[in-house]
Amino acid sequence: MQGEPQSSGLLYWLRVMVIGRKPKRTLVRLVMLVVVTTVVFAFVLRPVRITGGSMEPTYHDHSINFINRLAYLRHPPQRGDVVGVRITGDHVMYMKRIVGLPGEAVSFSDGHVCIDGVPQEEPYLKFTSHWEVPPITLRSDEYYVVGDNRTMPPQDHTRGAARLTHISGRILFPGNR
Amino acid sequence: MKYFVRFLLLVVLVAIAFWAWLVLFPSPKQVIQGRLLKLAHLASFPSREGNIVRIANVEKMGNLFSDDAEAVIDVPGIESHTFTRREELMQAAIMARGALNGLKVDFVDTNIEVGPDQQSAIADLTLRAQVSGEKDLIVQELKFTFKKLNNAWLITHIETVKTLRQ
Repeated sequence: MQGEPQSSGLLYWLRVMVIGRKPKRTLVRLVMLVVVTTVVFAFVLRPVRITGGSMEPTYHDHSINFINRLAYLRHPPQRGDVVGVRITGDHVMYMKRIVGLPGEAVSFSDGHVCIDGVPQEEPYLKFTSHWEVPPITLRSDEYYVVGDNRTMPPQDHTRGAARLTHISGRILFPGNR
Repeated sequence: MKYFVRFLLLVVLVAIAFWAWLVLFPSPKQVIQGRLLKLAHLASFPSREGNIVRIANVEKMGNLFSDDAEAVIDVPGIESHTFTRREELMQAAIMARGALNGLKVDFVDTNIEVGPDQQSAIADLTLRAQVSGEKDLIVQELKFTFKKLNNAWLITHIETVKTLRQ
């Protein structure tokens, strides 16, 4: 480096900072990063932007989260899981909480979910409501999903039995407790 | 080098011919996709839409439907409606445009299945609509039935689908 003009030394360090001392290795790293990121976000963690207030106050309007699409590879969905429910594809999904499992009869009494007639404890409910909804019996591949915000009349709230094939995955980050 | 340039030219020509073929002779799926895009565009309107523009757009929208087009709307929270003629649909569209303060509509996750006779098709899609000034999005699964009538793919039936069984 001795005897080189000062500007060429600066250029050298700029190059080292941007592409490293070994450009080939940097290129391989970059390609790997792009491949891994693409695979992860396309097939494993689906980024979602929450719109609307049906999951308030657990998940807020306009917040960002991820759907873990591998969550149910080893075990079926559990009661209390917050999941993404596909409509006709992956671009727009419902985000709801599973409250009923296959074979169960799900109803609502005074705003609380009842399984086979027994009221359930729902620690995530922060707002009071007075929903009265008659029971619906779930088929062997159905899960009952509903939002945490039950302040609106039940007919205005999107809820019901979702088939397992429509459940895209579990939400990654837990909301406000 | 000369052969390489000739080969490259040939590849470009084949690509252009293929593209021109797709544009000039689109598949039924592409035509239906285009019709749905046009419908979403015409169904959207700004907050201050003039009367002439409103009627012209609804008229254009009507051209996408067959005379006996039927629409069955059954959405939670809204009274269910069945429209049995194109005129009824257009009337409802004019009334809705007068009542709402702007609307943006788009169709996503569209799955189109063309019948074996190539004369009918079913499109299952998600409607995403935003009323100006409203916080919540309207999201609804819809099923469109298309038929090829007088060499044009027209909507003959629309129905709302309940994704979640009540």
